[in-house]
Amino acid sequence: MSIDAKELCRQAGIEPQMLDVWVATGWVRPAGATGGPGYAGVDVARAQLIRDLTGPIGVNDDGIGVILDLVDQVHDLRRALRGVSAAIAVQHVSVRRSIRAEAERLARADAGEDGPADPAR
Amino acid sequence: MADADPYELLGVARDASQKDIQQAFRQLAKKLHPDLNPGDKDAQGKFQAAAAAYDILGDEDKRGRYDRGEIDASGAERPQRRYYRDFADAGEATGAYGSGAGYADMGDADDILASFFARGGGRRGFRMRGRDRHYHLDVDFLDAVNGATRRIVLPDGAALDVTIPGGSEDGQTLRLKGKGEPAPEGGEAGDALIEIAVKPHPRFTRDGDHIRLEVPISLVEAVLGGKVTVPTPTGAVSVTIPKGSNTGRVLRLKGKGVAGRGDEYLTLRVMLPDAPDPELEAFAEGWAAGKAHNPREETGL
Repeated sequence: MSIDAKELCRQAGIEPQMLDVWVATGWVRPAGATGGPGYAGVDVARAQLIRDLTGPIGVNDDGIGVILDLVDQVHDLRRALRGVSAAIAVQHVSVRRSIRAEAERLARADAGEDGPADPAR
Repeated sequence: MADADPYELLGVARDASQKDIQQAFRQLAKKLHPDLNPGDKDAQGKFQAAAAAYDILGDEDKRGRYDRGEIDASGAERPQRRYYRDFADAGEATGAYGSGAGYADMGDADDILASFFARGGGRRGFRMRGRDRHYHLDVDFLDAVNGATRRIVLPDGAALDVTIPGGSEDGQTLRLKGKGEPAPEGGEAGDALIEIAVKPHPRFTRDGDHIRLEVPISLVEAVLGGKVTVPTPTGAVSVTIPKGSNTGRVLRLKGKGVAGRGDEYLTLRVMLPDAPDPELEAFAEGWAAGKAHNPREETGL
């Protein structure tokens, strides 16, 4: 999908002046998703998110930038985590058991139930 | 024209009452009806637009749905709004909007983690697909060694044909692409992950790429040598037992291992006949060299 700024504003329910400001501050980035000029569905959704943050959620301008950056970090981390999960899923069962055992040991250690790693597990 | 705002068309405020809306439409209808305006070419279009707007706003249910964005001005269903997270989960946000700030410190020391953090190409990456389905399959020893095709019948009655590659090991997971859960919103289906358990064989054991087999031989075969037939994963073969073979001697059949890789190793085991044999006992009594032989001394027992 590739749409122009006017169409993005219509779909997202925002004024073109608003979009100009958001592009200037870098909250919405054209040529991102599609690799060429114009916008795509992801940009419409991002504009709607910013609209919701400024509107009903009542975040001020400084806050928007911070929130968007954290949202972006979360999504990249989710993506990496899904990758790790997929790579583990196809490992030999003995590998998966070892990983799970070590994960449980670490969780117990975190919770303060310290103990030496049990190689027999 | 389906995108014109019906409130604007009828000239009413968004919080107008149903009565106001009805009155507004009636006024417009009187003014715009083509038959009451025979000279106005545009009257038909204008009247129809007003009628379409009243069709939405005049009905309280429809008006509510339009206000909530569930239908558009022509009454057509509007697809559910897609939130930013739907795009991000599908991997579409990595190009312009990715931020590695959360894990920038983690990839340096750890090769494995680093490979998950690489951000090449906006649309690639681990996109949202259907979930994987997990299955378990018991496989016969020789099917796992030689390879085979097996059919799994699923709880819902559907069948999956699974190709077990030759050399498959106990605990291995096979991945069948696209045989998992369907994806939300038309993405790729997930995969079927099948964990195999290889059943033990009464005679063969597996040692990496090799097969091991214990072969009992008679006293005569051990002393004089001879030809015996032994099984391999791909069929029986004839093997020459060398003269003077002791228990524990290992013979190697090259290329008779797992899936053509590796070898089959035969461990010989010399067996006396079960029933006592008077002839044999008489010979042992009279065999001076045999009586003098002390294998325990030889091995320092």
